[in-house]
Amino acid sequence: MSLGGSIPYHLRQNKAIDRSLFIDLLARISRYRNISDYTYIGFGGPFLEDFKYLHSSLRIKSMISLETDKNVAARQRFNQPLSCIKILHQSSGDFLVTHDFVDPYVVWFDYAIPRDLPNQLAETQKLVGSLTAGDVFKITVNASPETLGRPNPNEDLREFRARCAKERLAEYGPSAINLDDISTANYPRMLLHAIYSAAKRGVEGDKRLYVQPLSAFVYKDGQQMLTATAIILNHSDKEPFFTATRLNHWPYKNMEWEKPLPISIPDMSVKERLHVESLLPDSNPNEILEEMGYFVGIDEHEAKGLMKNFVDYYRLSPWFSRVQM
Amino acid sequence: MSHTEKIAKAFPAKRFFVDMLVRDIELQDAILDLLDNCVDGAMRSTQNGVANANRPYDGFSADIDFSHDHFSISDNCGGIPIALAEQYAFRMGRADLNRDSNIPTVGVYGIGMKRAIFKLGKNSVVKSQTEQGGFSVEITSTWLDSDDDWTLPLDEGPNILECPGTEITVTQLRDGIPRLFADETDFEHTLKTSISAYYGFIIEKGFTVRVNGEPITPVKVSLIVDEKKLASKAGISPYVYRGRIDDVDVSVTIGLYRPLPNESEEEEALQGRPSTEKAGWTIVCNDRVVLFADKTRVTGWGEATVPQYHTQFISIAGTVVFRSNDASKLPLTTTKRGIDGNSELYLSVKEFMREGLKLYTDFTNKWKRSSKELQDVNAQLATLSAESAHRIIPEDSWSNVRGVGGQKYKPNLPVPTEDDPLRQVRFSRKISDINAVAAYLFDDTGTPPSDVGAKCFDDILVKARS
Repeated sequence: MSLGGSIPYHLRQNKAIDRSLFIDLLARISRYRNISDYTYIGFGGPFLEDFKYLHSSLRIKSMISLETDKNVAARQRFNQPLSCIKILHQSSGDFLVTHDFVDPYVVWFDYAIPRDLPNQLAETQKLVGSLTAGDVFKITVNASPETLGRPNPNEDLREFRARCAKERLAEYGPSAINLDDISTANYPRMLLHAIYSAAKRGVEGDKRLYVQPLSAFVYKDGQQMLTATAIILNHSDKEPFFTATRLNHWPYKNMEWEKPLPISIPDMSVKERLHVESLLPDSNPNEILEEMGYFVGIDEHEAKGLMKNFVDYYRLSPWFSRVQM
Repeated sequence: MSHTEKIAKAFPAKRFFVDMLVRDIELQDAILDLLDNCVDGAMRSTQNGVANANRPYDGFSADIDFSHDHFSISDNCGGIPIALAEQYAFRMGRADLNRDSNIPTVGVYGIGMKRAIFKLGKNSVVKSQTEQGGFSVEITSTWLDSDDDWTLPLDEGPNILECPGTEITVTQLRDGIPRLFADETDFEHTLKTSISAYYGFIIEKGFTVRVNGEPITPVKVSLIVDEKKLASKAGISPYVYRGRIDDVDVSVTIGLYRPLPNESEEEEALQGRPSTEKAGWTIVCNDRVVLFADKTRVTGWGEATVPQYHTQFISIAGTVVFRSNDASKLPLTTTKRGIDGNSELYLSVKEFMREGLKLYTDFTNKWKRSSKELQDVNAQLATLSAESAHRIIPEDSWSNVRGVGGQKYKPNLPVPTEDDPLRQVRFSRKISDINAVAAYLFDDTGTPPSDVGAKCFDDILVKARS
């Protein structure tokens, strides 16, 4: 995949916020079921970053990494940070066919290739069909409308992209796609609905189960990404789940999957960030921007949104800086 | 010896209608049955007034609403006259064949509404209002359990509903339905998609359907038409039949709705990649789509020299339109979502369907692995709806059909140029190598390998010829 977004995996600050929010969410779910007893399945990338975090913060001890690239799998084996990670050189699609789902699971399919969206949605349905009450799944997909491609010069860009989106969303998409649905602002929302459609179809076969959405975020470290997390529950467990987890009071919750929350924060220098943080939590985004006298972002509108996110997420956002060894 | 006359009971058991007949229909089809009644009502209403010929249903609408504990459908399509309600509307099965004899409705058997209500739940209220007055009927679970009571009390009133129309509300939903209606399994989305497909023709003609408040947009297939070559019949244009057989107006149109698939698309389809493809036959009876994108023997695939459906035929789509004021002449099943394959009318029409289909399966096979030449042809062509395509075919290009009568337009589809035939170039290389070339040529390692190979060849060809 060479569609941009080649920022080293471990340096994506917005993805890091998403990951922190995921761990925060799992910690809350742990009040309901002991997450440490779950098996985690994910795409670790060469450094198995997520696996390290999940193990250290939640004490998950059974982990499976899926990797299609043989060379990356070899790199993973070299980098293997923990002995409890089983590294499989297998695609998620093949894994879903061959694996026997017997434990409680947290599954994160962090998809990268936009043109494979139809398969990603079908796999989501298949995955949910393999899970049962108490299992958690998280799906990440590329949500940049640019990945829908460009038409010949004599064709309208938005019409072309709407047609391409229709093909990619296939049976999970709306019957008609409006030209507005494929704007950068709206495309993630349509994808979220398609993920929800696919997930709901997954529980069709077991009438006791339903899909309970928990969170959905959109962020941009280069490419715009959408990430959505849900738990499968028995109807009878709904009350106990929300009582135990108190997720109704979680500020980042998204129980309907109607629209994802943006979590991208501005790219600031260390000096800027220290300054902004010194004004928090007592200032609001407008006050901060006014105090600074300039904005960080493409334009003032975007900068306001980014600063609002920073105010919301600064506690969860990591510090990246250069280390010489 | 005294002779006592014994009798055998032969009256029907309600359970037959309430629990058994409903097994023959899926929930979604039952809802579409109710929607059919709305549209039939609109058709009756338009017969009384002046309607726009292209958009006869303008102003008519139906609202479907449901949640975990109720279902309702309401329309503004004229309502059920009280006399009809007293005599026929609530009877199981239709005795009066003369009703609507001059209107192209689809209701024939007098079972749709009742079966749909029973499929949904055990308690229902039907309210209807016409210009002359209204009524309300309640069907309770107690009534459904009794084999002795075959009448229902009608509550008459001048203003049962605000405007002429019908409203059906069902509660005490059957097992399994609350879960579907609570939208835990994506039923709402599936229903909306079906309505888009099955009511596309009617919605295009002005009817409005809303599901839980959201208006449904129609889906219709348009076909590739090479307008400039219509008169010479030499371009890629649909095969068309039009005629009137046994008081039924028939038209058959088949062609390509998209360019032929490339190798990687075919492979992906084989691996189960989901798609929205509309390939196959869509059959329309009195504006109602009764079969959508069918790819089975029912529509002629795999019969009489026509090959079975296969992913390479993904681009072929056809529409058959039947229209008659006498719905009993249409080749419909009782569920109205299927074709009566033994109907003589249908069997005659199927000949034309197979002829057109064979024309396009042969075309596809000849151009298999779409060559550059065909892509160039495809790229310049516009797509048109079946009706528009009919309209622009020049009158002198039609030929008369012997036997059943009617006319057809049969294109001579282009064939690959014979004096320099195409050959496939096939070879295999390591994925990493293909990716490297793809990144070099297209800046995208996701480019299908066949495109990468073709680009390499084309680039070298330019050099070879220079």
